[in-house]
Order: sequence, then C-alpha cells, then structure tokens
Amino acid sequence: MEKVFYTHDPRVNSVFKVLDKNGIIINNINHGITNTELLEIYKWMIRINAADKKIINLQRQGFMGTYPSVQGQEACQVAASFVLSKKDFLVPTFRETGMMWAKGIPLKSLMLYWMGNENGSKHPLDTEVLPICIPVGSHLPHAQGIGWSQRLKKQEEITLCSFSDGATSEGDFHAALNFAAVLKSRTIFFCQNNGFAISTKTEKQTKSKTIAEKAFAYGMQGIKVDGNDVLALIIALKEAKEMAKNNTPTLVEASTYRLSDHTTTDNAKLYREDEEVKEKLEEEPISRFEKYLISLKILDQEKINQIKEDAKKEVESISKEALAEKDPELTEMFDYLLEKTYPELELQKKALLQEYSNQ
Amino acid sequence: MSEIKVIDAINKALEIGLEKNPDLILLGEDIGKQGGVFRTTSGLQAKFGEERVVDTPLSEQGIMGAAVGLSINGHLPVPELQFDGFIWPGFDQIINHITRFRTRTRGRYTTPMVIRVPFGGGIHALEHHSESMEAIFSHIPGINVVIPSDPYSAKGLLLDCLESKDPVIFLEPKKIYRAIKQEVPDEHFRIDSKKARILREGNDLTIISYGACMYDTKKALPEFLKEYPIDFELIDLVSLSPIDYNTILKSAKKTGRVVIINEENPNCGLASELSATISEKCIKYLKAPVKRVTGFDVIIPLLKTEDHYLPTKTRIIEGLKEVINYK
Amino acid sequence: MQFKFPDVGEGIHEGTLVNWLVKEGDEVELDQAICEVETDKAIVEIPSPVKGKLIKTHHVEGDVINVGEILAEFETKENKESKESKESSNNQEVKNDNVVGNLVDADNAPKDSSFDFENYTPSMKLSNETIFEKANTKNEVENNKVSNNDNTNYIELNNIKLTTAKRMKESLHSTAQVTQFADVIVDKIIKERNEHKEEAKKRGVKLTYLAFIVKAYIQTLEDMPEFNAKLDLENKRLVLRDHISIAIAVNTENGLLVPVIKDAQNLSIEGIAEQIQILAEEARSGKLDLPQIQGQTATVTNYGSIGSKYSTPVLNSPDLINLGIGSFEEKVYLNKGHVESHTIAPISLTFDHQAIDGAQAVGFLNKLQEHLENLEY
Repeated sequence: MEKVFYTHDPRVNSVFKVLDKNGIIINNINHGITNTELLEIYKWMIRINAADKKIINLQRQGFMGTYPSVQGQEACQVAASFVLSKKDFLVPTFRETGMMWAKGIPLKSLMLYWMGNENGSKHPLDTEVLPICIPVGSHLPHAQGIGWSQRLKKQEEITLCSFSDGATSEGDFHAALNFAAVLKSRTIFFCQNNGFAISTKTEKQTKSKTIAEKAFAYGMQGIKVDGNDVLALIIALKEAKEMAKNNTPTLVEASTYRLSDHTTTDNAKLYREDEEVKEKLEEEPISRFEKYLISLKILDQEKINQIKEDAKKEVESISKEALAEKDPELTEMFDYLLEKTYPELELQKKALLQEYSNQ
Repeated sequence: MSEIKVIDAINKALEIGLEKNPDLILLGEDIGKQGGVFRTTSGLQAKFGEERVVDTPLSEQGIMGAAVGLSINGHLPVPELQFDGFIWPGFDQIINHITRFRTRTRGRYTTPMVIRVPFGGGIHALEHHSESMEAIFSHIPGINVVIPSDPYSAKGLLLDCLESKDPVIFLEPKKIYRAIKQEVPDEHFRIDSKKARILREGNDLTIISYGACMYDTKKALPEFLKEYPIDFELIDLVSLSPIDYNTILKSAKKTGRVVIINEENPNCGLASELSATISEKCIKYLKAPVKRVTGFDVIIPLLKTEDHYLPTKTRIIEGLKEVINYK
Repeated sequence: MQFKFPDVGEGIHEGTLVNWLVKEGDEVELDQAICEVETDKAIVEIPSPVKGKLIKTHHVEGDVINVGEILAEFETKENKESKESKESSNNQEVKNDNVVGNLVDADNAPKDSSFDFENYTPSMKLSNETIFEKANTKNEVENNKVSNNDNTNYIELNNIKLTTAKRMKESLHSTAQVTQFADVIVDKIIKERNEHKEEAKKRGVKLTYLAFIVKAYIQTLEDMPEFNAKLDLENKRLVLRDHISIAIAVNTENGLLVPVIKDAQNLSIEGIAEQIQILAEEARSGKLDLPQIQGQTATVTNYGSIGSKYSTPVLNSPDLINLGIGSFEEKVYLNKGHVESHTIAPISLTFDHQAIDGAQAVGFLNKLQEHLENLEY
C-alpha cells in the first residue's frame, strides 16, 4: 500500500483526499475496505447523526445537561473507531459521542453521562475507552503514557488520542508529542480540526498554516487529511496504526467543520455567518459518502430510508431507557474515591444519609 | 540492619521496589545517570536500565500526564518532581485527573502511583526550592499524602506506598535527607502509611509534628524538658491525608494538652485542621487551647533569613510552655 | 578562620592529602598554594583563601579528607570571627555533591543530641483540671467573693462542704424527687434487738436499731428490684443492679459523708451493724478512701438519732430511693375500738418519680413494714 504519510507532506500544503464532496473518487488508491464494511460505516454515520440530533432535542426539552454535538464530524468519529480494535486504547476529548459509541460504549451510558447521571460512567470491560476529558488537551499526555506503557510491555495494542485544534495551544500538546517522540510511544495523535475552539477560529489559534506540520518539530511524521472524507481518513489512520505498532507516534490532522454550536448553551450565530455554515454544509461527510455508495450499488433510496428509519427508532428506544434510569445511589460519591474508605469519610457518609432520610 | 540516612533509605526502598515489581517505573528529570539532584536515585539506572529508570524531557505536566497513562495500562509509575516548587505545572494533572479517575470511571480505570517530591525548607536553597504546601495536596479528595521523619520511616513508608492501589504523594523532607543516621532493616518491610506513629507514650502533653519539624522538635525537647520534665506523648503524624484521627483524638483526650508543630503557612493549614477537629471532638477534655507552632503567612525568604521563618527552637519551646502554663 | 576542604571538582566526596607546601606558623599570601591533594581525577593544589598566618594544620600527609572537613586554620589581620548563626548549624554545613542547597550531613555533624526517649523519666506532674472545670471553679470562687470593704465575718467552706453543695444541687436538678411518709411499727425489732444486744456486744458489735431497719430495707429491695436500679432514659430502660450496696449518711464535724456497705445482701443483721460501726468510725476520723464512698445502689439517712421526725432526704445519685428514718416514738392507736400502743419509726422515703410512681412507693413501704414485723435475728 502506498505510504500516504510520505507522499503528502503538510509542509508543502499537501492534503490527502480520496473522495470529493460530490462523492467522486479523485484518488485511485486501494482503500482495502469491503462492501460490507462500507455499508457498516455508512450505517454508523447515520446512527451517530440521529443520536446526536436526538440528544440535542432532549436538551432543548430539558432532559439533558449541556451537550457538545458532533455534527459535521461523523467521518472522523467513525474512521477512528473503525481502525481501532477493542483492546486498542481510545483517549477521547469531550466532543466524542460517535467515536465512543462506535468503539463499544453503549449509547445509553453516554446519554446518561450527559444527563449528569454517573450510572452512565460504568463502562464495559471489553473495550478500552477512557472517559471524556473536559480540561482541553490535558488527556494528550495520558495517551502518550499509555502508548509508552504498551511498548514497554511489548503489547500488540496501540493508542489513539482524539482532540481538536484548540488543544494544540495547550502546553500538554507540546509535552505529550515531545515525550511521545523521545520515548517512542505507540500513540496516534488524531486532531479533528473542526475550525473552532468555541468562538475562536483556527487562524487565531495558531499562525502555523497547518497543525499537521507541527509534528515535524518533534521529530514525528504528520499528515493533513480531508476530515470529511471517511475513506481518506481510514487509509491515513490505518497507516498511522502501522507506524504506532512500530513504536512510532504520528500526528494526523483531519480538516473538518463543526456544523453545530460549541455546545447546547452556545450560540454560534454570534461569531459566524450563516453563509459560511451553508457553504460548509455542502462538504459534509455523510452525503458524499451516500452518493459514493449509491454509485457502487451498495445503497439505493429505499435502503437509505430504511437505514434512517431504523436509526431513528433505535435512538428513540435507547433514549427512553436512559430517561427511565434511576439516579445514582447517594453513597456512590463516597464509594469510589479510594480503594478503601476511612473512618472520617464514613462519618461524613453517615451524616449525608441521615440528612437524606430526615428530609 | 544498617545505619543509614533518609536518602539511602529511599534509594534502598526504590531498589527493592524495582526488583519486586517488574511494572514499577521511575520517571523524572535527571534521575538516571545523575541519580537525581539529591542523588536519591543514584545507581538505580545502572542496575535496572534506561527503560525502568527514565530521564524524561523537562516538563512536569508531561511527566505527570505520562504517569497517568502508564498507570492506566498497568505500570506502577513513581514520578519524581525535582522540587516542591516545580510541582505546579504538573498539579493540573494531579487535581484534575490523578485524583479523579477512580471516581470518574466508577473504578473501571484507576491511577495508582507514588509521586515523590523533595519537600520543605531549611537547606538554604534558591527560591521555589523550599515550599511547604502540604495543605493544598491534603485538601484534594482522592489522593493520600504521606511524609516520613527519619530513615526508618522513610524506607518502611515508601515500601508501603509502593503497594497502594491509590495515588500517593510522598513528601521527602529534604532538610533531613542526610542529617539523620539510624538503624534500618536491610530487607523489605512496611510501615502502615495511613497511621500516625506514637514515638513516645505519655499522659500530660501531646506533641504532634511531622517531616523535618519532627527532627527540630526532637532537638528542642531536651532543653524544654530540663525545665519541665513532664510526661509527654510525641506523635509523628505521617499521614496528612487521611489523618489518623483515631490515634490523635485518643491522645488528645488522654492528655488534654496539644501542640502541633509544622513549617507551613498557618492560614488554612494542616495545623488548623487538626486544631479544629481536636477542639470539636475533645473540648470537654482539654486543659488548654490547642497550640499551633508554624511558619508565617509569607513567602519563605532566601537563605539569610530562612531560619527565622522556620519554627525555631525558641518558637517550639515557647509553644510547649504556653500550653503547660495555661491557667 | 577555619578553612574547610572544598569540592575541588565536579562532585568529589574526598581526597588524599599528598603533602603540605607550608607549615604551621608560616605567613601566607592570598591564593598561595598551601597543600596538594589527590582526588580520583588528579592531584590538585589548594590555594590559601586569605592572607595571614597558618596557625594550625588539621591533617597529616597520607590522610583521607572528606569534603567539608577542616583543613587548616588561619589568623588574619581583621581576626574577625565569622558570625555564628544562632539557630542554623552553619558549622556543620557541607557543600554536598547535590546540585542545589546545603544539606546538614550526619557524617560531619557531632553525634546528634537526638533525644533518648528510652531512658527519660518525667518528674513533673501537671494539674488534671479541664478548661471547663477551671472556669467553673473560678466562677464559684468569684460568686462567693464578698467585697473587701465589708465588715462581715467569713465561714470558710471546706472541700467536703463544697462537694456536698455541688452534689446536692446536681441531684435535685437531675431527678424528679418525691417523698412518701409513713409510720412503720418497730415493736418487733425493738424486741429482737434487746434480746441480742448483749451477745453481740461480746463479739464487739454494737447492735443498733438502724442495722435491723437496714436489713428489712435490703429484704424489701430484694422483693422489689425495680427500686435497686439505675435509670437509663437514653436506652429507655431501668438497669437492675446485681448487688445491693447501702450508703449510710454520716454526719461528721467536717460535713456529711456517705460511706457504703458493699454487697449488703450477703450480710446478717450483726454483719450490717458491724459495717455501720466501722464506716461511721472511719468517716469521723477522716479515714475514708474514695472506693468506700462509691458504688451504692440505695441510701439510708438516719436523722432520728439527732431527733428529727420527718424530712425529704435528697437522692444520692444515681440511686432511685433514699430511706429517711426519724426518731422512734411511742404512739397510741385505736384498733376496732380498742386502744393499743406501738413504737413507730417515722419514715420518709424519697424516690425518683422518673422511674417510680407513688403507688409503687407505697407498696415498698408496706413491704418494709411486713419485713420489720417478721425480722428474726
């Protein structure tokens, strides 16, 4: 397979693309994805889109706390989880509903989390996914550390760290990439550059023309990919995974766009024009992929409708379950602090229970 | 048994740890060939190799963040922060992640590790090399804070912490790194790092201290006892979080007189916490108000006047006298 | 001034003195080489730190010197002694081979006067008063103070009186005391006593009416154990005692003392009389110790001997009853039209109405009367 990292140097503004916004293949590279897998990828993108929309509705109806939408980033969300195995570590940012769900965290758990219910924090044991990270960028060193540990333990697995352009200004970005290169960590640093950190556009975030080129300063390879092109992403990430398996960390920049507000408490109209959003909507990942699959006769309109219908039903049913879930036990705030409790903490727990029963 | 110093005790404990636990990994700045700026890790890289005693790039946030990742994947990291004053770039990882992973993931992921920090004043060093911010660490839920006061406890406590399933901040009072020689067992042994140590039992006065101040307190005692040969009880606090109140309150109820000696800035400090809880739980037994002997609410000065900031022999003795003579 | 062997190169710990280039008594110039030292790196010349006289060398050729040890002493024109810091052990400071800071090193310090706890024996005792107790005593003293300008006389209150004052007040404030009065017929015990007092005297025991009454009291308590109990409101119960120990109030010239006959349920009338005798004697001669005035389960106050009739004796905490006994009287009664005379003892039974009610108290007194009529020596 052609080594796209070496043939697409971001320092000369080269961007790796395979599928253009009209669903036409513009790079004949063999992506190695079967038709069954292509259909599966499409379904995931639709389901993620449906889930995301539902969660926003729930928030508007008062059932959900603040929620950061992944609209426009469905290709990134699916591509990353596609190339990772269950035992590979995913170290997510906070805008990651799709990636975490596709990697094996139940949607219900994710919904519960955003409802502020920690019953949703009890994740399954059969997939390695860290919890979302709120302090921007502070999870990159974690991903470095895991990748380093995997190398020392001679494990097969690798680590993928997902973050956005805002994180690249934090010191943790610098520390993590620097350490990763020096200590040969099995880490893919996957930057979903969606154009914004809340209201701050990327050009205000860094003077660097691309984020990918920052990799070279650390002695690492970097590549910039069309982040709305799920095929290009999968190829690039597969290659990054190969390098990670060789104890070589990389930086993959996915150039995409955040179609939604920063979170449900944000109003993006204050800092961007409707015109811009309209333009970007034409480049969004799902419609181009749909066109491509139609051209391969994997999809037709009937199938598309069915898939969308099923996704809606599925999401509806899961959100009903989530809404019916009971609150966490009061004592849980004490029970998971340390391995063993201690006397003063027990007294405080008793006091809380007493107060609760007196109410 | 060998007569060794705190610095050797720590070195030996780390050596035993590295031998016993193949997942134990030391990381920090200059800990390899240099052996650390105090020579604490001297010889360990030569013995265990560069992959187990790792010289990292100069970044505390990088070190602490890497430790999170290492720990999550099953290593036991022992990150060293070169000085207490430099902990702050790594503090974000401590307060936002290291102390929270167990709670955040309901135990799915935990981050056991032993964060070693040379701590406290009294070595006539540069600015930022003499901090006593243990109250800040102790205030955070989700981490244990442990501090030895002599070579014996340094080794036993560190070996105990290396078996902990929770993250620990292990404060190493640098003033006494070399100042004390003591008989310490050569083999592996543990001292419970969640319990205060009663160094002497007595009935009439409870003296609580820890770290280098315990050493200073012991030095001040002979002069005090000449004038007031009383039956005192001396307690090494050891565990700053959680505090072993079982031992402390029992002692306070027994003697009714308590003096706490440490070098921190007094406002919102460990001594205040102890005083409040002792007063609350033992008020009927107190024969005098609880006395705190501490530093001052200022930045610790440079070497010319540093020793006047730290609890002096005079300050300690006056504090003890005040409680004895309370009418 | 003292010149210490410095770290002459990149963290060495020690060196070997090869030879002295000057001798004691020589005048030296600043920077003049005074000796040669061999380290594991090279042979190094040590320059004099001052211009002055070398008055003492501290090592001989061939010695191994540690960094920080005194090498030589000089006398200079200024002859200034370096300022000794009062608190810090500057003279033990060593420029260790660590990168920052000066650490005190045990190797170079004099043997630590670190405290030997093993062999320390305290010899000063401290007062046991808590802050509250101190404050209370202070308050009481201040409340009783009379202004110095008064022309009044004083009666000092001793400790016994102060303790009595405290305990009486506490007792009345913490219980619901009610007293039930009755005249109990004591003809039988008068008879018994007169018949046996001589033989008891031979055994050294003064047989008193009080002993008989106490015996009947004990028997009544055995019949009605709810009177020989403690009130435990927190756990909503009466704690029945597993022994009967009777406190006997004794008036002494120093004040009221209440020694206790322990395990009185095991004693005969004579045994009780003997105990009363002993305890009263010890009370009056001030020989009672603390255990002897503790541990009672019920109390008897006999003021009849000093001539009073009825009273409202105060409960002896934490007892539920106090049996007050007045002086015996001969009384005339009408019984179905016939005139009878009896000797009666006026009884004042104080009880704690938190635990016992009036009907029970009357029952107790009836039982007591029964036992007094049936008592055999």
